[in-house]
Amino acid sequence: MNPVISCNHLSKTFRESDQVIRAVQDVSFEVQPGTITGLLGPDGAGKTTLIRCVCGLLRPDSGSVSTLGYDSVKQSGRIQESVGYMPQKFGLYENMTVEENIRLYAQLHGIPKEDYESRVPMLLERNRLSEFTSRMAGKLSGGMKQKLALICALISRPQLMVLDEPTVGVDVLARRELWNILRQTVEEESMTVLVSTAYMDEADYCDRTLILFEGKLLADKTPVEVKELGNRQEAIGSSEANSTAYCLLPTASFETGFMQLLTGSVPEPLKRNNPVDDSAPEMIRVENLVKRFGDFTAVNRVSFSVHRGEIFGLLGANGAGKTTTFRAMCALSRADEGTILFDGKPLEKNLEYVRNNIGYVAQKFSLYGDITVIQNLKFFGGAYGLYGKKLQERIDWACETLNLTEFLKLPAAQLSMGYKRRLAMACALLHNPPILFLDEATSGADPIARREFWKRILALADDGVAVVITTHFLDEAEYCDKILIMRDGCEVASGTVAQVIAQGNGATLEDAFVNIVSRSSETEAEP
Amino acid sequence: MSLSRLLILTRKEFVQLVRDPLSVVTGILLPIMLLLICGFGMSTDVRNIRLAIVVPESSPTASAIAARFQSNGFFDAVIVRSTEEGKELIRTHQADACLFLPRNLSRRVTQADVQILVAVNASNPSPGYLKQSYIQSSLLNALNKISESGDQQTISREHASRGIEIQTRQWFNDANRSVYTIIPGIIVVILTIIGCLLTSIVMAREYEQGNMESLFVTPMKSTEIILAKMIINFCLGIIGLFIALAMARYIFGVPMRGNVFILLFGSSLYLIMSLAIGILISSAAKNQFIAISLASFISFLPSYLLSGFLFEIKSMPTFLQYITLIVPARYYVDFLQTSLLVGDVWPNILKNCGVLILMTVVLLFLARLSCPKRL
Amino acid sequence: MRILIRVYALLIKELCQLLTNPKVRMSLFIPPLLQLIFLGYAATMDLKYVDCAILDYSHSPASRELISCFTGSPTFHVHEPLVNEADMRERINTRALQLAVVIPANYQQAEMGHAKATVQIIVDGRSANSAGMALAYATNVVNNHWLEKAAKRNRIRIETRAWYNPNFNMQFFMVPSLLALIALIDIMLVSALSIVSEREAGTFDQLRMTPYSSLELLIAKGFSTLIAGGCQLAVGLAAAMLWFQVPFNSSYALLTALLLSFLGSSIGIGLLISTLTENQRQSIIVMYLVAVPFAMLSGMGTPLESMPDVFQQAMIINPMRHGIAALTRIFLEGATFWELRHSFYLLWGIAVGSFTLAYFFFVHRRNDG
Repeated sequence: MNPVISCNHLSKTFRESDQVIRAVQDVSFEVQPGTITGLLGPDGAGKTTLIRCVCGLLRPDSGSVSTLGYDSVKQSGRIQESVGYMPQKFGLYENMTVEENIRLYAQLHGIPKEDYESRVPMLLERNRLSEFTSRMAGKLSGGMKQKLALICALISRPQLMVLDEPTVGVDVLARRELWNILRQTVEEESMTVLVSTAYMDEADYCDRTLILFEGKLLADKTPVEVKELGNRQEAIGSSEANSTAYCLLPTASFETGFMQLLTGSVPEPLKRNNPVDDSAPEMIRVENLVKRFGDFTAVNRVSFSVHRGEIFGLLGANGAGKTTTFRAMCALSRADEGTILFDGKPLEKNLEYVRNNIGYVAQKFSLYGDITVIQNLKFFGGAYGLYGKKLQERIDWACETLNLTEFLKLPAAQLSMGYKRRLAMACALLHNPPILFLDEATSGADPIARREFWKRILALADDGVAVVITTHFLDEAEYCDKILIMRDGCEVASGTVAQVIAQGNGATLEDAFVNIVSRSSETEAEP
Repeated sequence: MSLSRLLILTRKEFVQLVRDPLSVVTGILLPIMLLLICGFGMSTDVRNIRLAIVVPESSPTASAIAARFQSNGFFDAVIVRSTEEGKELIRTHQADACLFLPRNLSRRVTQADVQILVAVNASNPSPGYLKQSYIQSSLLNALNKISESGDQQTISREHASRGIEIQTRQWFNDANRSVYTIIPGIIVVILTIIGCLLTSIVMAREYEQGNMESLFVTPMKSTEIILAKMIINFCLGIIGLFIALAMARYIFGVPMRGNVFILLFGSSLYLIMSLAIGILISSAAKNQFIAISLASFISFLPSYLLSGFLFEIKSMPTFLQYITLIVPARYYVDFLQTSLLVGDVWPNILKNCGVLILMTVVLLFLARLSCPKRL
Repeated sequence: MRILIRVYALLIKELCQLLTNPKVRMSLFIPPLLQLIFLGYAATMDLKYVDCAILDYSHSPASRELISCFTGSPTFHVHEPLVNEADMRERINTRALQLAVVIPANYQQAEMGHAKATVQIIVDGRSANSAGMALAYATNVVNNHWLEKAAKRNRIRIETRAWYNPNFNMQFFMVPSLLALIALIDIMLVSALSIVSEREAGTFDQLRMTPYSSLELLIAKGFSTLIAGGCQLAVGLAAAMLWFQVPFNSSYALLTALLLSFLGSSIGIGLLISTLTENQRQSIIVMYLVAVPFAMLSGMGTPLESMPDVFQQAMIINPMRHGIAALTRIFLEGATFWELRHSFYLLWGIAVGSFTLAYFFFVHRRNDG
C-alpha cells in the first residue's frame, strides 16, 4: 500500500527579528493507511510546524511532503479538500452555536443533505454533545470545544485526519474519551490519523509514534519498542528504587523510553530525604469552603489542611472546582462561606501577612516578557520589600541554584520554556516563602524538565516548605504526600496516594482517578 | 469560484457580524454618534463676538457706532471708558476683540481725519481673523450709514465708496452653514472606519483565533473567503452610509442636488476600495493590534486630515500636496461634496470615479495576491 | 519604609517596561513626533493659495485698479478673466476656481458717487472652512482698496491689530494644541491598557499575590505613566519650540505644572477605563469612544464659542478642552497662574475625581475577581 503521508528531509526555519528558529530539521517519515500515528514531543519541538507543512499550510524550506499522493507545495489545494484538520486553537466560531458550526463546515465541504442528516446525530451522540446543539461554541468547556472541533473535522469523512495537540489542557477523562472516539472512527471508516501531543502517556493509544525533539526526529517506532528501550535500562537500577513511593518513573513507561532515547540512560528515581511527619504544624487549614458564581456552586464545602513540609495535590477533571479552590486559597477571590486559616490566622483579616508569606507560580509563568530577567527578579524582590544587600544575596542565590546567570540581560520573553519556568520559580522563591503554590506549572514540559522541576520541589519540601499543586499529570501526583480529588465542586476522595488508589479500585493512580471521577456522574459539568 | 460556497460563507459572516457587539457598535452606533457630535458640535460659524468698545469720551457719533454694534446679533458689545480697561478685558478673555474709538470722534469724522483701531485676540488665528474681518466690515457699514443719515454731510461727500457696496455669496451653501461641509467629511470618515478599520480587525481576529487555519483546510478558495468578508462588510458600510445620508438630509437639512444613483455608485466604489485596503492590512498584520494601528495610520488619519475636508489641500506645503494625490479619500471627498451640494458635474464625476476605479482595481488585485491559502 | 521600597520596585518595573524596550520606546516617541511635525504642516486653517478670477463688466480704469489689488495679493492667484456668468459657473463647479469677483458695468461711475453699484464676491461653499476665510480675505482686499482711495482725499483709516499672534500664524495655535491631542490619545491609551494588559497576560494575578495594596498598585501605574508621558511631552515641546518656533512668553514652571495637571487628568480617565474593561480590545474601543469626542470638541478644530451651549457645558469634563485653552494662553499670551486658575482647578478636579472612581472600582473588582 502507498503511504498516506511521506515526508522527505523536510526542514523549515523561521526568522524572528534577529533570532533564527530551526523549527523542523531534516525530518523523514512515512504514515501507513489505517493507522493512528502519534507525533510526540514537548512544547517547542516543532510539532505544529510539521503538521502545517503536511497540510500544505506552510511551504517547507527544503525537502518535500506528499500527502495523499499530492505534493504539499504544488497541490496544496487538493490536499486541503480531502484532509480533515483540527488546529490547535480549534478554529471554532465562538459566537455561533454548536449546530451552526457543524453545519458551516459540512456545507463548506459540500456534504449532501441526506449524508449530513444521518451522520451528524451519530457524531453528536458519540461525542455526547446532542444536548448542547444550540449552545454558543464560546460557552463550551475546553473538553466540549475539543469534541466539537473533532466533529467539524470528521464531518467530511476525510481519508486523513490531522489533529494538532487536541488534548492540551484537557483532563485525563476527556482525553481517554477522545482517543476512544478516534480509534472507533479509524476502525469504522478506514481513516488514517496523525495526532500531535505533548503528553507522553498518550503514546499507548497510537499504532506508531514519531518522537520529535528540538526540531529533530528522535525515533520512528511503535510504542512497545520505545517502552522496551526504557525497560532494558530500568532492569539495572530498579531493585532498590521501587522500594520507595517517591519516584518519577515508577514502572516501565513510554516516558522512560523517551528518556533513554534522549539521554542514553534512565535516571535514578527521585526520593524525599526528609519525609513529612504528621506532627508538623499546620500551615493552611481550609474548612467548609464554599464559592458560588450566581446560581452555580463552584466549590461546595471542601475542607483540608496542609502541613509544614508537605506536598499537597489538588486534582480533578476540568471544571471540577480545583482552580476556584486554588484562587480562594491564594486570596485571589473571596470565599462565600467557610474559613481559611494561614498559620492559624484567618486569611481575610491578614491579607498582607499572607501575601508576604506565599510564593506563586502560575500556569503561564506570569513573568513580564518585555523586561529582562534581572529586572523581573529585582521587581519581584522589591515587591516583597527586599532591597540592597539582602535583595542581591537572594538574587545571587536564585541565579546560582537555577542556573540563570547567563541569561540575566535577556528579555524574559526570549527564554525557552524551561528557563521561563525556572525564572518563575526564582521569582516566587526570592522572599523565602514558607508556602508555595504551583498551578499546572509543568504542562507542556518535556520529561527531563519535569524531572528537574520536581527534584527542586522535593528539596524545598524537605526544607520544610508547604507546597500546594494542581496538575493534569497523574504520575506527578504520585509525589504528593496527600492528594484531594474534586468533582462538581465537592471532595470525592482524599488521602495519601496509596489510600486514593485503594478508594478508586484501580491498579494505577490514573485508573483510580478515572474510576472516582466518572463513578456517579456521566455528564460533564459547566465550569 | 462556486456561488453556493460563497453563499455559505456569506451567511456565516452574517451570523457572526450580528452576534459581535463590536461590529454593531462600529457599524451603526458610531456613524450616528459621529454625525451628532460633528453635526451639532463642530461649527465654524462665528457668533457672539464679545466686543469691547473703548469710548473715552461720549459723543453722538460714538454712541451711534456703539449702538449699531449692540443691536447687531453677531456682537456682544460692552462699552468701557479707557484703553487700559479694554486691554484688560482681552487679556482676561472677557472680550475677543476691542474697538478703540479716538477722542473728539464727532469732530474728526466731520473733518474726515479719523484713525480707528481694531484689535483682536489672535491666539486662535482662524476665528480671530474672521472676527477681525466682521468687525471691520461692520464698522465701515456703520460709518457709511452715519454719513448717509445726514448729520455728517462732509464725510458722505468725500467717502469714495459711497455708492458701492460689497455683496458676498457663498455658492452651494448660501446660509453659510458649516454643517454642509462637515457632513460629507464625516461620511468619508465613517466609510473608512467600516471599510478599512473594522474589516482589518475582523479579519485579523480570524487569523488570531485560528479560524483561518481551519478555513484554509477546506475546499474554499481564498477568493471566496475574501469575497464573503467583503460582501458582508460592504452591506454594513452601505447601511452606515444610508444612516448617514438620512441623518444629513432630515436632521441637518443637507441638500442632495446630484443624482442619487451616481452618489451611491461613487460611494460604493470608495467602500470597496477601503475594504480592499482593510484586507491587505489584515493579511499583512494577522494581529488585531497591529491591524488597528496600521489601519489608522494608513487609512483613517489620512482620510481625516489629508482629504481636504478639514484642511485646504492647496494651503499645505508642497510635499504634503503630493502625498494627498495618493490618498483615495481626497477624490471621494471632492466627489461627495459636489454630488451633495452642487449636482452632477460630469468632468468632476468622471475624474474622481476614474481615479477611484483605478485604485480599486489595483488594490483588489493586491488583496487577492496577499491572501494565498497559506499561513 | 517597606511601602516605599515596594512602590519604588513597581515604579522601576513599569518604567522598564515602558522605556527600556526599544520597540516600545520608539512607539512612544517617534510616531508622536512625526505626527506633530506632519500635522503641524497639514493642519493649516489659514489660506495660502486661492484660485480666483474676475468678471469685469466695467472695463474701466477704476475696475482695473481693483483687479490689480487682487493680482498683487500673495494669497490670490488670479486666473484668466471670466467671460460671462456661465463661464464662471462652470469653472467654479469643476473647482478650477474657488472664488470669483463680479465688477458691475457702472463701477467707475459709482466710485465717483454718481451711481449705486454692487460688487459681488462669490465663493465655492463646498470647501469646508476655507470658504469663509476666502470671503473674508477678498472682502478685506476690496475694503482696504476703497479705504486707501478714500485716504487720499480724507484720512479715515481703520487699523487692525492681531494681538498675541500678529500674523495670524496658524501653527502657533495648532502646534501646542496638537501636543495636547497627541499626549491625550497616547497617554490615555497607555494608562487604559496598563491594567487590562496585565490581566490578559496573566501577570495581574501574580501581582495580586504580592503584598501590594490596591492604592499602591494604582499609584505606581499612574505615576509611571506620568513620567513616560512627561518625557514624551518634553520631546514634543522641544520640537514645538525649536522646529516650529512657537513663541513662548511665560514661565517654564507654569508650563510644567499645567502639563502635569493635564497628564494627570488624562491618566485618571485612562485608569478608570482600564479598571472597568475586561480585555485590551474593549479598553481600546472605549478609549476611542471617549477620546474622539473629546478631541473633536476640544476647541482645536472648531472654536469652542461656536458650539451649542449644551456641548460647551458638557465639555467641562474634557481635559483637552482645558489643556488647549490654557496651553495657548501660556505660550502666546504669557498668562499667569491666577488668570488660568479655573483651568487648573478643573483639571485637578477631573484628575482627582477619575482617580477616586478608578480606585473604587479597582478595589471592588479586586476583592470580587
